[in-house]
Amino acid sequence: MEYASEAADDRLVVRLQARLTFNDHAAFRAMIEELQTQDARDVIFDLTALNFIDSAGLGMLLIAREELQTNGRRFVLRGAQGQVRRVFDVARLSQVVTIET
Amino acid sequence: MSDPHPPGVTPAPFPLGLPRLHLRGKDMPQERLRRVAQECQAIAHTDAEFSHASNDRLILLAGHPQQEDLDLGVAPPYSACIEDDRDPLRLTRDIQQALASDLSVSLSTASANRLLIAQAVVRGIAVHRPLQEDVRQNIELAVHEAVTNALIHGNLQIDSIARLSTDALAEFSEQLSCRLNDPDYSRRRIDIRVAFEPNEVVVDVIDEGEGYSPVVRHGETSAFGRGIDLIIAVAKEVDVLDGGWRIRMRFAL
Repeated sequence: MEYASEAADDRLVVRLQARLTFNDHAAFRAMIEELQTQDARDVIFDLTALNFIDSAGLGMLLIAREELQTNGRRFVLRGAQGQVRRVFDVARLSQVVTIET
Repeated sequence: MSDPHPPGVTPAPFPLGLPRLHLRGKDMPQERLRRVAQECQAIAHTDAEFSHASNDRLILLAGHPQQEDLDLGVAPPYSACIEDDRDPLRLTRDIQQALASDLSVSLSTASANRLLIAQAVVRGIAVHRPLQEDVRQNIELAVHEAVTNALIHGNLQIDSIARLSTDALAEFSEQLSCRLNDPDYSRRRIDIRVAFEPNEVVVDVIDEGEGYSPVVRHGETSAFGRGIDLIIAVAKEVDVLDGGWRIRMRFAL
């Protein structure tokens, strides 16, 4: 997993790239800790450049949501396509997470 | 100085015209390769410069498998990539088992943790059978989830993350690193065996853990643990066999 974040107004956009799988457990945790130090109210995960996700990747997105919401933030996923969108559909992720198209 | 008895010069006494088995050894001692080849009645090769008949079987044995070895070993003319990290007799059995599959991979848990197995396997499958994009995605996802299950819950015997928190994720990371550093766990095998049937491809993923009985979970309280749900959703048929050591997935082509 690679990521780049960009803050504007009260929004923080986090662009995830390449793959998000169980192998990213350490990198993802470090990323959440880094995001927690920023004070934007809305945190938007842009998944346009993410091309593969697994069940652990879904789990880690839910961990990010839980941690950010506990701190009073709004968590949004957007831009999922290809395999990532398909996995979201199969896992019915939209029932539990706000997904913008 | 050149080796007066290079391993490629003593072909096994196979009748002319019948397929023969060739083993290419990478990062493994020549003597060891020679011994394993003798056990399997195979022809040993220490490098890629060899010739073979088109109906011969070719297997790549890798002492320290890298992604390029795996990618190479699962695509024609090879039919298997096997890690060489155990005694020659066990390795001989691995080779014999690989011969029963159309395509196979056999790796230690440590190697399975750092290599993109499902990606390589699905590319190998696609060389034999053209795959539509959605079928390709289904096979890659299901094989990836089955390998991850075999690795984490099977061989390393680590539980799913039960809480949605970074603390729970940190505990998982620590336990994973601890088990990967323990050869009793990290040397356990993960095997992926592929069989082509007329309108289907069948993929088995086998581990050496204590047996695994998947539970279909719903809801969002567990972070890692949806793998089997995804497999069931994308495969045509899923069976858990051999007391949980083997998961068999069928995909319609």
